[in-house]
Formats: sequence, C-alpha cells, structure tokens
Amino acid sequence: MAHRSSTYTLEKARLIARGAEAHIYLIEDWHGFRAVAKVRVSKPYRVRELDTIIRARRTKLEAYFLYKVKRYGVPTPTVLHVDLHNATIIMEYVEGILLREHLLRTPDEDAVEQLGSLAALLHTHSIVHGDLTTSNAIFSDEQVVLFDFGLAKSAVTVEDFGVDVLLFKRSLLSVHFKYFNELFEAFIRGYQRVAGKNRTNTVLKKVSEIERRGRYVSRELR
Amino acid sequence: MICLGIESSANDFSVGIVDSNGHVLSLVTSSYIPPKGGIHPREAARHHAQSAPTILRRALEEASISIKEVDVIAFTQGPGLGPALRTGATVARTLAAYFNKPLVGVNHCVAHVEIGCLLLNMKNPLTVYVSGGNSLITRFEEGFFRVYGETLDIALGNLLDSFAQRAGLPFPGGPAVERLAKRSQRYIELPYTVKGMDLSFSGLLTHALRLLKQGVPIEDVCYSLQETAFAMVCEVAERALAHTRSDELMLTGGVAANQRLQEMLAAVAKEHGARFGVVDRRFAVDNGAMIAWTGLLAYQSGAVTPIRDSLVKPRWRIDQVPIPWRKHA
Repeated sequence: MAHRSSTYTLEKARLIARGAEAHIYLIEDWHGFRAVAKVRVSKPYRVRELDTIIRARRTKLEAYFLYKVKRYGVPTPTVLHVDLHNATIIMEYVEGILLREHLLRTPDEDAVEQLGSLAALLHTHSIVHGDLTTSNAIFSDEQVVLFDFGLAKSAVTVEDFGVDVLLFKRSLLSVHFKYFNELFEAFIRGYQRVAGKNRTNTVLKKVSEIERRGRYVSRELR
Repeated sequence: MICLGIESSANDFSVGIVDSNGHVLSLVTSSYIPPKGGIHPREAARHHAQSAPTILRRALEEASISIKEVDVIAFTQGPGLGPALRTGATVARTLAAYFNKPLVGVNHCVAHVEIGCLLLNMKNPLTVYVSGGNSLITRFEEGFFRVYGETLDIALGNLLDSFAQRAGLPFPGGPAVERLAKRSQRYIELPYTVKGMDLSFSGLLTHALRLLKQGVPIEDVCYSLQETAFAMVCEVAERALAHTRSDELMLTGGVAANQRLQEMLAAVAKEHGARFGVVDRRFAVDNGAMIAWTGLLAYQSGAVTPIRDSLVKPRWRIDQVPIPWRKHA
C-alpha cells in the first residue's frame, strides 16, 4: 500500500481484512503499539469527486466519534493517527473476534445485551452509530468493543434512535435469524438498563412506526 | 409442462408462455403510456382490461398452442398497484376456472430473480433489482429471499422518472436522463443517503430539481443525479456482496438497461471476484414470461393457489414468500 504521506508507511503492514469499504492492515509496531490501519479505499466505479468526498468525510467522522464516545464509557479502539489525505485511521489493535462470528458459534445473549447498553449509552449522549450490526463490534475478553463509526452522527430525535435500533434488528434478522428472538430481547434488555423503561418504550414504539412506514408492509401490521 | 403467466402489476399487461425446459414460447406485452404525468392505477387497470383479450390471443398464437395445452395458469399476486393487479388476477382466475387449470399466484420480485437465473444460468446470485416501483438487493438464504438493502422511500426508476417528468423530459425518464448525462462530466455534490444498508432517494430528487431551478445545465444535473444515485446502489450492493460472499451478481429491473449502472456494478463484481450478469432488457422489465417460469417452478414443487386464496397482495414483500423449489443456498 503506497501512501503519499511521509510520516508513516504501510509497506510492511499485513492486510488482515478486506471489507466492502476499507482495508485493514496490521502494524506490528506503531511506536511500541500493535496497531491497525483502516484505509478507506478508493472505489473505481464512482466519480472521483464523490469518491474523495465520501472517503474523507467518513474518515473524519469515524475518528471523531471513536474518540468522543470513549468518555461516555463506550469501549472503542484508541485512535493513534488520522491521515485524511489517504482516508486512513491508525488505531489500537483489539484482540478478539467479530461479534458476528462469536454469535454464529454461540448465541451469546450477554454479549448482545452489552451491545444494547452501548447503543443506549450513545443515544443518551445524542449520538447514533448509523451502522449498528454484529459485524461492527469485536468480542474481546468478554467485552464488546464498538467500531466503524463512519456513518455516525449527532442526533436528538427519537426517529434517529429508532432507525439505529431498526438497523440492528434487521442485521440480526439477516444473519442471526435462527436466534433472532432471544438476541433481540437481550439487546432490548441491555438498552433498557441504560436508557430506562420509558425511553426504551418510546424508541421501540418508533421502531415499529418506522417499520410500518416501510415499503410493502402488510395491511395487518399497519 | 406448459405455464401461461400474466403480469399486470404496474403499467404493462403482459402474457408469457414458458415450458418446463425453460423455453420461452411467447411473450407479448402491451404498455400503458400515460398521456401526461405518472401512472394512474385506475387508468392502468382500464388499459389492462381492454388489452387482455388481444394480448392473450396473440401470446397463444405466437406459441402455436391452444389454451387447452396449457397446464398451469400463473399470475402476479403482488406487489404492485391494486387495481392493476386485480385486473390480471381476474383474467387468470377466469381462465383457470373456465378451462379447469391449476392457478398459481406469483410474487413479482421473486419472478424477476428467477427469470434472471434462468437466462444468465446463475444459481444463487445477489440480485440488484431496480425498477420504477422497486429497488432492492436480495439473495436466497435458508428458505426465503433475504433483503439486504432496499429503498426507504421512492424507487430508483421512480427517482429518474419523476425528475425527468418535472424537467419536461419524455416518459419513461430513465433513458432521457441517461442520454443527457452522457454529455456532462461536471459533478455537483448531491445528498448521498445510505442508512445502514438502506437507501433514500427522495432528498436527492428534491435537491436535483432545485439545482435545475437555479439554472444549472440539465446535463450536469442528470450526470450528478446518476452518479450519486448509482454510487449509493453500488455501495450497498458491494457491502451485501462482501457480507454474503456471493460469487454471482445480477442486475435486473427496468433501470438495468442503464449502461452507466451496468458499468459500475460490473466493477463492483470484479473487485469481489463475482460473475456479473445483466438480464436482457426484454426480461428485465415487467413481463409475463417471468411469471410463467416462476409459476412453473412453484407448481412443480407442489404449490397451487386456490381461487379463494387468490386475492391480490399489493404490499407482498419478497422476504415473506416461501420458496419451496430452492433447497439451499
């Protein structure tokens, strides 16, 4: 990976994951830390201007929120370096496995409950994650660490919180459909522990409202 | 075995006849083109009722068979415009009852995928289905088609048509927008709205129309509109591709004819080592052959729709349809 920035190089770094949006490189020694570089790669299919806008914007947002949410008690990888020009964030390497893989092995309700609490923590501090799925969390030493804040934003409306929860619900339905009921209930339990009963009910009501608004929802559900 | 399929979910009334070898014996369509504005469901239904006898007769003639040789009658049960669907369903019920043939109600979106698989020789692709009424990214997994992403408001084709209509371009708007877009390379930033895996096009429409009002050349607006909307579709398709690890990517629906969209999705597929296929225009738009083929698959796996259960379902989601003919992913 050739980066134009002169402050560091990814030449010796090993590509450890290729997501749809970014490549993840492992850097064994980043000033004494084991680190990963998340590089938002340029997409040949989109027009260059748009490509640049999207990559820079998301890199910036992600770095900002990774840092910001820590103070609310949401575990995230520590940001070590941001290179907007190359749409790259260098952050702490977190030992563990993707929550998605963990849940496919065991439908661990505790882990999902933790994730529910983290979502509620974000929401009570007026932040939505924007892409809450089990692929965007690491299960590390019995603890859930949240990452991928590229679609995060400040939010104050119940609508935004509802969309966040709905996205998570849908991701459970598409990947963990066998244990959907148990896992979604666990999520709500965790959410409620932080946000309280009233708040949780308000958000859940909004979730069903958004679902009913959705396309081709049967009349019985409307 | 021969199946006759009737499609009438939107502005087309179409009859296709297909045999169990997957040969399309005939496909005849009559399109309702609104004199101005969008499709009025009542007017579309009126058109369908008027064209039904002719289209049916022509489809049988072209296939060189009589209705007696047809084994199964299939029809689009949903989703779509209620009045338009009801007209097709009435024709199908009448044929089934009068000639004593089994009736099969077919989901329109499932049919788009199945005919694509037949024609492109694909087993279980990730499908990008973009038309005037639908925009969704789907793949079969464990008994059902799962929706990996879809529009939260208007469909991609609807975005292009609505823009074109208000910009004074002819119906359908997609080809007109594509022609104009080819003349520009000046990108103007427009709202890019991806929520998780879902898309929203309505803000894009409003903003593009505003630019036009402000005097921005229509070529530049068309270009920017296409680039933004298609990039959104590609992003979600790419994430779904990475997520499902599918080795096939299929593009279908009316907007599939757009060359720029084809080119972009081909690049997505290439990057993920997936085989890319675009469904031939005749079978990518709404057509009776896809209904006939899917009806045949359903019938052969034991599905029939008794007349009392044949009410149309205008809001029938693709992920609610049992797919007994597909065993495993």
